[in-house]
Amino acid sequence: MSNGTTHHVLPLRMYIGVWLTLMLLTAVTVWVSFFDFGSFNMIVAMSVATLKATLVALFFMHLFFDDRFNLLAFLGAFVFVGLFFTFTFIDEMTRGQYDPIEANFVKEMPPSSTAGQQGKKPPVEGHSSEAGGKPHAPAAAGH
Amino acid sequence: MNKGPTSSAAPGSAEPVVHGQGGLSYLNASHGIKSWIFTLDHKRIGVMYLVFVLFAFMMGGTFALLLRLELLTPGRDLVDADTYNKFFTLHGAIMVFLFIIPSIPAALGNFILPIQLGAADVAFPRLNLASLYIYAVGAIFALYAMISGGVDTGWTFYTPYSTSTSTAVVPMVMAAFILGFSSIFTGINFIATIHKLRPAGMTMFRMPLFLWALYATSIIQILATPVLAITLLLLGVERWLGVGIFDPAMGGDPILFQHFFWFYSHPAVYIMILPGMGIISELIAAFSHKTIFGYRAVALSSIALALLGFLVWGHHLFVSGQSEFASTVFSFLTFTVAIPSAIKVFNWLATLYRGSIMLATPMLYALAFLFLFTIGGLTGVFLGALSVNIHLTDTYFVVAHFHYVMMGGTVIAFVGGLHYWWPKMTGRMYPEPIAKVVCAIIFVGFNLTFFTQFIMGAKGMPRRYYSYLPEYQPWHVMSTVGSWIIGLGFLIMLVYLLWSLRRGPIAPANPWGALTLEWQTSSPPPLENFKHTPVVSGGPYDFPDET
Amino acid sequence: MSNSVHTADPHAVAGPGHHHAHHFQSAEHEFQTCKLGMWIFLVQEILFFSGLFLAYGIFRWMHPEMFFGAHKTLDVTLGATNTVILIFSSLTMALAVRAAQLNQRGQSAVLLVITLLCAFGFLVIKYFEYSHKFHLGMLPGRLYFYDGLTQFRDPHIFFGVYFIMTGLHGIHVIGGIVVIGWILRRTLRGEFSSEYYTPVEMTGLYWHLVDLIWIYLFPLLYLVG
Repeated sequence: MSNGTTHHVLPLRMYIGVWLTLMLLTAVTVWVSFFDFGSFNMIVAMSVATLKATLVALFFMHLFFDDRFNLLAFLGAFVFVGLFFTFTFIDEMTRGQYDPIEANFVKEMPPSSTAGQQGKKPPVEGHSSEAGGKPHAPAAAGH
Repeated sequence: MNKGPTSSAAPGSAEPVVHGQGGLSYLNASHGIKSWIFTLDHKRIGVMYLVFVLFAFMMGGTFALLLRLELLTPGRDLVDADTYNKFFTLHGAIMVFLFIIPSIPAALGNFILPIQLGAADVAFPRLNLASLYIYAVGAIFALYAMISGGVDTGWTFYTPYSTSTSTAVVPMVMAAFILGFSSIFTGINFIATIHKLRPAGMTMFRMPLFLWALYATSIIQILATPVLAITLLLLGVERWLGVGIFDPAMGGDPILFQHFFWFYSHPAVYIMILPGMGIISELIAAFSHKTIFGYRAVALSSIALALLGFLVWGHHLFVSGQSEFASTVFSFLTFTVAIPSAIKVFNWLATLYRGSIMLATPMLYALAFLFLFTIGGLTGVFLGALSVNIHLTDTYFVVAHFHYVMMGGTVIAFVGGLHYWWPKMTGRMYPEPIAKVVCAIIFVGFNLTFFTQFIMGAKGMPRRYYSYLPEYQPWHVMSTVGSWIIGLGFLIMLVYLLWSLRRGPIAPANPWGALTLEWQTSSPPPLENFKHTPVVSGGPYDFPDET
Repeated sequence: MSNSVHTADPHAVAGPGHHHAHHFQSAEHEFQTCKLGMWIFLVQEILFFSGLFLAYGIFRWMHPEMFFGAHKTLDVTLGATNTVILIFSSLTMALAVRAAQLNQRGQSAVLLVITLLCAFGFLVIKYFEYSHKFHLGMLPGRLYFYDGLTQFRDPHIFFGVYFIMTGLHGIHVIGGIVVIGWILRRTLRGEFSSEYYTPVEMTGLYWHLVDLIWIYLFPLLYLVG
């Protein structure tokens, strides 16, 4: 390398090492899916995925060695994704507090029902344990 | 004494300025249509964008005039109800996606940003050209949607109507999707340019406030527009495959569509207003011949507005079925987003105080902005109050609010900026006396059109209605007459601007005595923007103290 | 925010025939700016996919048992294989960039070819998965006609989410194939060197993002619960 460029060439063993770690973590990903951690299932799965993603971003994508601003931009994106998720979930999870009818599923299928559900009325769906057991559901279109 | 950013000569000094005629400017550096279509020069790209957005404004404005004409009486005046629905939808969609979002950043910003920064071009000139091409493709899809029957869902495309109506939703949604990428590419370019192409001495806090505004706008464009893209994609897939994510009969949630849509569309209104506010900072500083009071506060409030703007989208969903708790949270957050805007207004007013005011046309537009935007912003706070919103939502009060901020704010700022930079871009002055008269015409017409709508809305007149109770008719008539006055004003403006291209007086390099870098180069600028790379040694508004 | 002044020789020629653009002060300046631009583009891609992840989250929260039941129709082995393929292709892509950085044109080309083969392999596996589902009627929305999973309400929602997420990801894989193919062609023509390999680096960043998205898609769709 010459001509004043300041690019690090990272050692081959770093790339191979990161790749092997990613392979190991992929095996872990599949392995933990066979265990039931209850409401922690999602957190465990996402933690492993995030660890893998961090390795890819920091080393394959060179963020560890780069201008810090690029890292800031990348992380910043997730802050806004978090806002999007948080407020939308706040809405979906708190419907029906003042007017219970807003928390009900559509219980009856309309006569022209979706294919594959001919005449069947499955029981009302149970709800995720994160919601603490109280039924929550989207309101029928009222706007 | 601070002299402000300088090139190799002090502002307004003895260095001979090269006018358009006799010197080589970006306009005559090359000739022929191919030199425009394949240009990489940000100035030419800006000019082409300007032509496009002005066409879009005329198209959107025509739909506005038509729909207001229909509203002269409660019955049918011109068209039937279905066609009326298409008029207001197309008015909204064209104005939002084809005019207002690209207007200041892509037309004025592309031209001015590199020059005000002291750079030779934007960071990625080919991406800039691609942005323009993508805009053109999006516009073609929108035109196709118009001629293949139009769209009648309202520009907001709410489900489930948008997933079941037989009008040309898919082409219009594809148009908006494509136009979104034009917007995103502009944002990428501006952020990279501001970070990487500042010359020696141009620190972030010596940048003109227009550039801070464009920077904040670009942040929003990058973060919000892709969410619009995925929303429109999901809408298209829903129509095509009946996926059911927005359809309650299939287990979906129509309010989810509104969350997705407004996560973009609320920050989008800050994409619309922030560049306008940036222009106002430039105009008030230049025409008060005084530095902006609270420069740092104004700069940082642009960033604050960009970020806070992402926290309030639920205020568009107050009556949709959104939970009361979420609505309360969004209402509270909506009050906070008013603060940065207020900071700016007060700083502008403080700048005017004891300034050496020059009432040229751009300044008249800036003063109009202060009045109109304040009304628009305040009424936004009224609407943000949850309990008040229940009564005013979907009435003309909302329509008046957003026209005060978008038209009384952004369009007025855009026109002010257009006049301010007209000599720089074209090398000609527009005719000042008639321009002032037109400003007055537009101001009167605007208030007649839209203030009456505040009153109507508070009295209960719903929006997007084809017909109405007879007691609203006087207000509608006044509003329609106001729309004619606005139309007249813009028509005269079009005529005198075109006239000035051939017959306007030749403009000097710095007709306004302003200090930002674009005035240190000729009018119009040479191809490479500056004959000598500027070296910045002071702030952008370091006018000599005149007290 | 960094002050951006670079003071390298403004007329440096980087690489065989590459002259950096006139508004940059050096090839290095151009490289760092392009990188910044690319990262901002990736930010935009993250926000683009975020809507789909949110839709997934909302519907999974609304219908947890249905999601659990429906996901069992996905083949974990195929999904895991695809994950391994994509991560390996990320390695080969990163090494291709490194080879370009080291002036190793031949190696860079070989690594790009391997990356492309992995990408095609990924799509082939997805083709098998998709056609299996089409055959059984596990389709989104109104196209759904699978006769299993009847104990759940609206199982088509899972498949709607599955197809949209993997479909959009697949479109990005196809886009990646096109771009990597183009970069391969330019590599073979000797357009890159240690002085100038910016497009290879940019392509690498894009490809890693495609991998990143799959790293999240795989557990969420195939390993629920």
